[in-house]
Amino acid sequence: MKVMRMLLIWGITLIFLTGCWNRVEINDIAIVTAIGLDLVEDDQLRLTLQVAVPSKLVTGGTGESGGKSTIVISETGASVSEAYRNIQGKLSRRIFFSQSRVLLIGEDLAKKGVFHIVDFHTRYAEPRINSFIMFTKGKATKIINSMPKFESVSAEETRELAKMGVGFKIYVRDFLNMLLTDGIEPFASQFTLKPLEVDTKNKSGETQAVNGIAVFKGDKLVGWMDEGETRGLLWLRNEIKTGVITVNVPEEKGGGNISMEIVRGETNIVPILKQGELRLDVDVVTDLSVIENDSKLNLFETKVIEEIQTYAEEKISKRIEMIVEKAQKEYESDIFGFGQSVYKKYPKEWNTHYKENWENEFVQTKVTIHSKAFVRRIGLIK
Amino acid sequence: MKIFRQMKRLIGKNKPYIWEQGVQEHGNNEGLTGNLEEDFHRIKQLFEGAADFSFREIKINALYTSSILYLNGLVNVERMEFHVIHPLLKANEKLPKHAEITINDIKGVLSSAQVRQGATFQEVIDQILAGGTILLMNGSKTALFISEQSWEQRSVDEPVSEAVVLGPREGFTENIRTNGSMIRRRLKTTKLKFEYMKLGSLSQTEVMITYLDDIAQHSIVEEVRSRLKRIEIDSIEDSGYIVEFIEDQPFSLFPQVLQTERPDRVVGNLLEGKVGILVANSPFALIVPVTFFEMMNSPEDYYGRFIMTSFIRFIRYLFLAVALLFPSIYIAVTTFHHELLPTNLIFSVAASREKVPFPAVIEALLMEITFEALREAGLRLPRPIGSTVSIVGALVVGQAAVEAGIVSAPLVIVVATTGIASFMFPSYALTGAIRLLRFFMIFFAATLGFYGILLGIFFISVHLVKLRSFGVPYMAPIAPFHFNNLKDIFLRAPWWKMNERPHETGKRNLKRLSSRKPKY
Repeated sequence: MKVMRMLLIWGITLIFLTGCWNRVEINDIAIVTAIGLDLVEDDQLRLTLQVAVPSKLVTGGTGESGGKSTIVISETGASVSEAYRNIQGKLSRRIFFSQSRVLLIGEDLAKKGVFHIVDFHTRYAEPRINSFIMFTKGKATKIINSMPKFESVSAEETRELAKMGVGFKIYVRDFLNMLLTDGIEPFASQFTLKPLEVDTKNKSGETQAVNGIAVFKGDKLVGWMDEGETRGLLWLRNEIKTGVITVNVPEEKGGGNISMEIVRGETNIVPILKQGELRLDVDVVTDLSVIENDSKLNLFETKVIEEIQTYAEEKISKRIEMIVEKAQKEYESDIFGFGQSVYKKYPKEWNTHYKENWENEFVQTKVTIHSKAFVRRIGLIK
Repeated sequence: MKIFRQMKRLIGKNKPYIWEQGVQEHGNNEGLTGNLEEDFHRIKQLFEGAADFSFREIKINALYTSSILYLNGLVNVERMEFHVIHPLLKANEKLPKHAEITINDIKGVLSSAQVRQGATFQEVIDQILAGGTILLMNGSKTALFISEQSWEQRSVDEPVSEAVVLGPREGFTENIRTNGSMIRRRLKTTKLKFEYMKLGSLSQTEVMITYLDDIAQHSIVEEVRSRLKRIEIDSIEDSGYIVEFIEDQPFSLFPQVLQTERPDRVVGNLLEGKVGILVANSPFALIVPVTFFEMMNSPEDYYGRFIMTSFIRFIRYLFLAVALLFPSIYIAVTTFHHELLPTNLIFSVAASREKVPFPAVIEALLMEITFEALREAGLRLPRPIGSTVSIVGALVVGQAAVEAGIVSAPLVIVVATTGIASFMFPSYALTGAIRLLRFFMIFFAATLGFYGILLGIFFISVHLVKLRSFGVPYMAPIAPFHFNNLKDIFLRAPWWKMNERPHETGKRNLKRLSSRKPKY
C-alpha cells in the first residue's frame, strides 16, 4: 500500500514536471490561410503566407471593422523552412500552419522540382497533408493577393473552388503518393486569375479559377493541360462525376446541338500483354440524360437516340484519345497510371521488364478506346 | 506520506476527544420509590430551569394523589384534558372513597389510546422529553406514560429538490412517523420492516432502518445497523450528519449514499433490495447501497413512457460529459489544438479573444467561479431579491464583461452551457462532485491539453471503479459488468421487460415479474 501510494504521488508529480508543453493562446498565433511558393533570383525560394487578421474578419462584437482581413507576408530563403523562419522574424505572432488548406506553387519553382516542398509539408507536423496542392502559371503570390468575392479570406475561396469537383481534388498526400508510386506521374490542379465577366466593356475585377491541370514528370513540371483536356483525364482516371457533353448534329440531319448531362461514367483500363506486346484497352461506359436540344431531331424515336449515342461515344473517345496522345507524345508523362494497371495485372512482367523501361514503353504503348454511351432520359418536352 | 499520516491522525483524534467531554445524561437507572413527593421532587430538580416543564396534581380520593407531568408544547393539552384530566376527576365519583386503588385501576379510567407503564426514572425522563404525559401516583412504583404528543409541524408538501412532472407529488416531512407512514402506505406487507434506534447523546434523534425482509440481503442490513450504532455524537440535526459517518470513502467527491425527499423513490429502492434510513427532523431519507447510475436516474424515469425516458437519459449522460468537460475542452482547443477548429470558427474565436488580457484558463476560471458565486447567491438571498441577482449576474457577467473585453463571448457560451448542464442531474450531491471535478479538469486541460483531459478522465474512472458503497461496486453493472442489469442504466426497458432485480442488491429474490406483457 505504502509503495503504491508513493508511486502514485511520484507519478502525479512527473506529469506536472512537463510544464506547459506547447501552450499558445489562440490570440498569439498567426493563422496562415494559404501558402505560396515562388522561385526568385539567385535560385532562392520565396515563401508567401496569407495570414488572417481575426479582428478585421469578424464584424460586430469588437466594433472596429474595415481594412483588409488578411495580410500577405513573404520572405526568401534557400529552403522552405529557412524562409519560414525568416518570416517569423517579421511577425509578432507565432506562425501557425495547421489551418491552411491551400498550397500554391509558381511555375518557375515547379519546373525546378517540388519534392522538397512536399517533403516539408508532410514531414513537419503543423501543415496539413490534406491541404490542396495547386500550381499556377506565373507567380503564386498573384493568386494569394487576389481579393475574395464571397468568403472573408481569399484562401477559403481557393479551397472551396478546389473542392467543387470541376477539376481534380488533389491533396498534398495524393500528390506525394503519385510521386512515390511507380507507374504513375503526379499532376495537380492549375489555378489562375480570370476576369469575372467576359465580352463586355465593363472593367470587371479578376477572380481565381480552376484552369486545367499541371502535368509532372517526376517532381518537375513538364507542361499544362487546359480545361477540355482535363475532362479527358477525369474520364481516364474514372473520376468523372458531373459534366455536360454537347454533340453537334451534322448539317444533313438538320444541324444544331444536343447537350447531355453525365449521370454516371465508368472507365476500365485493361492492359493486354500478347506475345510480348503490350496494349491498353480503355472501356468507357456512360449514362447520359438530355438537358438541351436545339436540333430538329425527334428524341422519341429509338433510332435517333441510337444515333445520338454514337455521336456521344465518338466525342468521349476523341477527348480521351487527344489527352492520351498529348501525354504520350508531348509530355511523355504517365499521369493516367497506365503503369499501375499493368503492374496490377502482370506484376511479374512489370517487375522484370516494364518497371525499368516504363518511360520508353509508355510512349509506345498502343491505347484503344472503347466508348459506350446510353441516353437514359430525354426530358419531358417533345 | 507524512502529510497523509498527520491528516489521518488529526481526523482520527477529533472523534473520541469530543466524546469523552460530551454531555450525557446518566445515573437515573433507579426505580421509582413510590413516594410521590420524593419522586416528583427528583424529577422536578432535573428539569430545573426548563420553563416548559409543566405539572398538575389531581386528588383521586382521600388517600391517593396523582401528578401529571409533561412538557408544554409537545403535548396536545386539549386532548390531554379530555382523555386524562377529565376522566381522573370523574374517577373521584366512580372509585371507592377510602379503598386502596392500584395504578391499573387508574389505567382503566383513562380514555387515551396509548397508555404504557414504566418503573425507572430514566424511562420517565425519556418519555417526558419525547412528548409523553406522565402520571405518577403515590404508593405506586410504576408510572403511566400517556401518548398525547402533538406539536406544530409542516404538512406534506411537494418535494422541492426533486420536482417531477409525472408521478406522486408528496415529499417527506420532518416528522419521522409521517414519513414512515408514507412508505408503509406504498408497501402493505408484513415484509416491510422498520427498525428503530436512537442516535445522538443529547438529541436522542430517532432513526429508522427500513427494508424488505425477503429481498434485502442480511449482510447489508447488518452492516447498516452496525455502522449506525457506531456513530457517537451529541446531536444529529439532519440525515446529512449520518451520511458522512456511514460512507465507505468520506474523502471521495462522489456521494455513496442517496438522499431523497421522495417516498416513492425510497420504495422503489427498497424493492431493489436496498436499505432506507429515515431520520427524525429531516425530510431527507437515505438509501444505501447506491450506484453511480442510480444517482443519474430520476424517479420520473419510471413514470414516463420508456422510449422518451431512454432519450432523456441519453441527453442526461451527454450533458454529464458537457458539465464535466466543456470548459476544459474549450481551453485545450484554444491553447493547444488550434488545428481542430474549422477555419471560420477559429477566426471568430480568435477575434473575440483579441482584446482579452488573460490566458484562456484564467478567463475560464474567472467565469466559472463567478458563476458558482451567482448560483450560491441566488440560493441564499430571499426569494424576491433572488431574481435581481440573476438579472444583475446575466447583465454584468454576461454582457458587460464581454463588451469590456475582460472575457470573450465564446467562453460565456461555454460557461452558460456548462451551467445549464450542471442543473440537469437528478442528484444534488452528484452535481457537487461534477462541479468540483470540472475545476480539476480545467487545470489538467490548461497544463496538458487533450492529453491532460484524458489523464483526468482516467483518474476519475479509476477512482469510480474502485469505489464501493456498502460493499457494492459503485459502477455496477458496468464494472463489474452484468448484461441483464443494463436494462435500467442508459436505457430504460419497458416495465414488462424488467423482470429481474439488480444482482448486486437483489440476489436473494431476483424475480420481479411473473409474466411477460399480456397480449391483446
